[in-house]
Amino acid sequence: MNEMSKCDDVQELLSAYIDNELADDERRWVGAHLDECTECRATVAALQEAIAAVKSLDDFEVPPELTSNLRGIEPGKRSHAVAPAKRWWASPRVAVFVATGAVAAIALVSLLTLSDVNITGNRGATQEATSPARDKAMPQQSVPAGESLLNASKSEAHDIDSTDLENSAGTEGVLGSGEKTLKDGAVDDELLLRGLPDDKDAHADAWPKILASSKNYTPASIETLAGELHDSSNGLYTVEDAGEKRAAFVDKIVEEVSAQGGEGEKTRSPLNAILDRTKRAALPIYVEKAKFENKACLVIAIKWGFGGGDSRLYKTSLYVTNLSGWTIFHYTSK
Amino acid sequence: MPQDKADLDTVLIKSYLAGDTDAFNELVGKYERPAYNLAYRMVGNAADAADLTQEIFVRLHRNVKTFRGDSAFSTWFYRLATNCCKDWLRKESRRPPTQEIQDTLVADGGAGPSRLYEQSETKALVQKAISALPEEQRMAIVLHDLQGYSYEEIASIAEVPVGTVKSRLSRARLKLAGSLAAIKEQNGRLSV
Repeated sequence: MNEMSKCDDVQELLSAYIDNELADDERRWVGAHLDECTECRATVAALQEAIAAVKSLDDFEVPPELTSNLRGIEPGKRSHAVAPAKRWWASPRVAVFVATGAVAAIALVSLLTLSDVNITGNRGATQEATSPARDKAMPQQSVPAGESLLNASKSEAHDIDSTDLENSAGTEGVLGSGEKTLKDGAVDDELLLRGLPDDKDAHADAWPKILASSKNYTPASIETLAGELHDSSNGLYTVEDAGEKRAAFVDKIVEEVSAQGGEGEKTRSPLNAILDRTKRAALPIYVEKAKFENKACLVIAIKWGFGGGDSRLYKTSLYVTNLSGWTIFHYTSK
Repeated sequence: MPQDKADLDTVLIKSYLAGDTDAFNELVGKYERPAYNLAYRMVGNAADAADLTQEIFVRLHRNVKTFRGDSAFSTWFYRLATNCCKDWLRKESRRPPTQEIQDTLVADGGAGPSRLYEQSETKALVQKAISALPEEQRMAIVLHDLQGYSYEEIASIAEVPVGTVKSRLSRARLKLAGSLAAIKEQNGRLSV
C-alpha cells in the first residue's frame, strides 16, 4: 500500500478513531500511521474542531405554545382526517393543532368575542349572488355591495359576536380595512378576493381583513377558497410586506378593539408571538369567521416563504380552526 | 438510555393505552425537547421545526399502540421521529433551495428579543454547514454529536449496520471540517 492510499484509508477511520469506536487492531494501525503522518494528524485536529463546533451548539428551548399544543393532542378530535381530492394544491396536512392556527385563532376568537367590540357595517345594500361556477361545492352566500365596514356608519353597528350565522345572510363584517373592499355590484369572485389588492401593483395599499360571513364551508369549498387565495395573492406580497403589513395588521386590530373600549393591547402579543414562531416572514392575508360543516370556524390564510432570489412570498397556508383554536384543516400550497 | 428511564417509558405507555391520558403528556414532557431539537437541526429553522415536532407527536399518538417493547421506547420513538423528518424534508424539497438560508439571513438581520435561533454568528454558520449535509449524514451528526446517541443506538434507530453509521459520521465530519475551514479562511479564526 503506498502512502497516499494508506492516508485515504486512514482518513475514513479517523472519525471513529476520535470516538474510540475502532477495534483494537484498527486503532493500533491508525495510531501508528498518525505518529508518522503530519497530514493525517492535521485532519484529526480539523475533525476534532468540527466536532467541538457541533457540540458547542446550544439546545433550543421548546416554544411555550408548542409545549401547550403538544399536550392538547387528542386523537379522537381528528375527525376530518379524510383529505379532499388534490389538484395543484398540496396535500392538506390534517392536524389536531397547528401552532399558527391554534394560537392565532385563540387571539382572534378572543378579539371577535369581545362583547363590547362593535363592528360597524353597511347592512342595507346587499345583493344575492350565487357561488362561483368554478366550484359547485362553494356554498351560496350573500354579498354586501356596500363599502368597508370601517368606513360605514357607526350607527349601523352590529356586534360580531352576536351575529347569528344561521340567520345573518346578507350581513357581513369587515375589520381591518381603511379602504373600500367591494366594488359596486360585487360578485362572489370579489368576495373571495377581499383582503387582497385590486391590482398587482397596489400591494402596498392592501390590508388583511377579518370577515364575518354566513358561509358554510365544506372540505371541497375550503380547498377552492385556498386555491383562490393562493392564486390571487401570488406574487403580490414581498418579505418586506410581511414585516410592515403584519405590524400594521396587528396595530389595526389593537386600535379597533381599544377604540371600542376593549383591551386591545392584550391581542398584540399572542398574534405577534405566533406569527414570529410560525413563519418569520409571515403575513396574514385573510381571516374569516364562518362555518365549516355547520360548525363555527375561523379561516385564516397566511402568506409566507420566499427564495430563489425573489423576495416575493410564494406559499400560502390556510387554517380552518374551531372556535377553541384547534385546527381542523391545514393546507399549505406547493 | 438508563434502564429506569426506559422502564418508566414502558409504564407510561401502558398507562396511556389503559386510558390514562396524562401518561401521554408525561411522555410528551420527556421527549418534546429532544424531538424539537432534532427537528430544528434537521430543517434548520424554528418555524418548520415547530410544525414538524407537532407532526412527530401526532404520528406518535397514532402509532404508540404498535410499540411492542422489542427495543427501548427511545429507539422506537427516534425511529418514528427521524422517519417523520425524512418525510418532511422530501416534501419540502420541492421549494426553492435557498429559502431556509435566506430565512436565516433575514432572521439574523432582525433585531429584538424574539429571535429564536442562535445569537452567535459562528453557531449560525455551523448550523448552516450542518444543513448543507446530506440528510442521512446530518441525522447521524445530530443524533451522535448533539443528542449523545451511540453508534449502536443510531444503527438501531436508522435500521442500518453500525458500519454504515461510522461511514456516515465520518463523511459528515470530514465535510463539516472542510466547510468550517472555508469559513475560517473567509472570516478569520472560528471561535467555538
